[in-house]
Amino acid sequence: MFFSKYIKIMFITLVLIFISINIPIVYAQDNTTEVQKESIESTDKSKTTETSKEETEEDESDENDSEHKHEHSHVNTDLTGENAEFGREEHHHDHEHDECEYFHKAWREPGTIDIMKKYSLILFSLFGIIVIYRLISKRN
Amino acid sequence: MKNIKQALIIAQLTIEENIRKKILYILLFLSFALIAFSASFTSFDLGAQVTIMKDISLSGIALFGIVLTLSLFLNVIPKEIETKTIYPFITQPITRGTYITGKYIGLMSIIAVNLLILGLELMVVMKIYSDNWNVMIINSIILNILQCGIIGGLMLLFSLFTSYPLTLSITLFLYILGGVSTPYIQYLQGRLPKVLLDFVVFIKLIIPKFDCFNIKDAVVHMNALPQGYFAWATIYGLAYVIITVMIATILFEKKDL
Repeated sequence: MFFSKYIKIMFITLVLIFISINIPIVYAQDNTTEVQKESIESTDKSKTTETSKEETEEDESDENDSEHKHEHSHVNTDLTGENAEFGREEHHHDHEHDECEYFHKAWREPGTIDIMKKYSLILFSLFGIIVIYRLISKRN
Repeated sequence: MKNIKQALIIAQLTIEENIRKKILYILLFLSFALIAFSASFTSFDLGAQVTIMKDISLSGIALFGIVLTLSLFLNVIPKEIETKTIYPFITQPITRGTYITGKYIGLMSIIAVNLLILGLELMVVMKIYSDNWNVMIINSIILNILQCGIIGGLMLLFSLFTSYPLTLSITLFLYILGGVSTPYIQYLQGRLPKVLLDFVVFIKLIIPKFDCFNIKDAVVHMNALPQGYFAWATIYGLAYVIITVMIATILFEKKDL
């Protein structure tokens, strides 16, 4: 009897906590993947445009080919060579910025003050009504 | 006026009774140590170090406040009924409302004093490391106290008609759900079963928005709060505190002892 009571309570607690915790987690994970997808798509697009530009430039220039190629190769190896970490860091910060921007902060929302005002008004009027009702019922 | 005096006497007795609890000092010591040693994160540069110190310390203070509230309010009334220490008070010419208000004021004063001590410690540590008094820390602590006040009020309310493990679980559930912001709920439309979503929305309409009291990010990154935000958050918190204590009073008056 003792155990069954506590098992029931534990089960209810676990279910309630699971529901309440999972809501933001599901949202955040799904959201970050969307953000990542968007950023990956955008970087892919920029990369393809860059490579197409490079190709056209390479086609146009016939004579100073070796110097030009060297410059391009230098730019390309920036992300994979010595300065790779710098490039990655920047990319990482961009992701962090995107994710941080997406997470909700109540104090940043302009509507929060209005909600607080409305709720305060409702609750204080409720408090007033209860006080008046109790005073009237005491007199009677 | 007489009722207020009686409530304050009960509050004083409650403080004297609860100040002996060891958990209070253990938690206070741990939080004090966390803030004091937050400066040991020296692997970051100076600007980042101060930011991380503030972030960790404020999170620690918020967690300390919640744990302290849960431990103090958990079985304040049921325990007194069980040990029959409530009867000498009930037989005195004081109303039950006065008794419960006195208990609430006493417990909340302990929490408020503890959180303010930690807040002042954090301010001193910040003065040492960043050479300026960050007054926003106190604003954050006051909102933390109000948040603890609402949690305490809810616990007091639930403890009158449920067992203490259930009180704890319901309060935790409401606290977590109260912290879920509106965009999350909007996002969930069509993704969760309708019944569950309606249930969540219904509870969200009644329970306080606990994320309104979290201004940690503004304090950490030195962002200015919108005009009137702090004042309205304080009024909003007080409104919830008053209502929960009042409902607890009404329930306690109707309780058969």
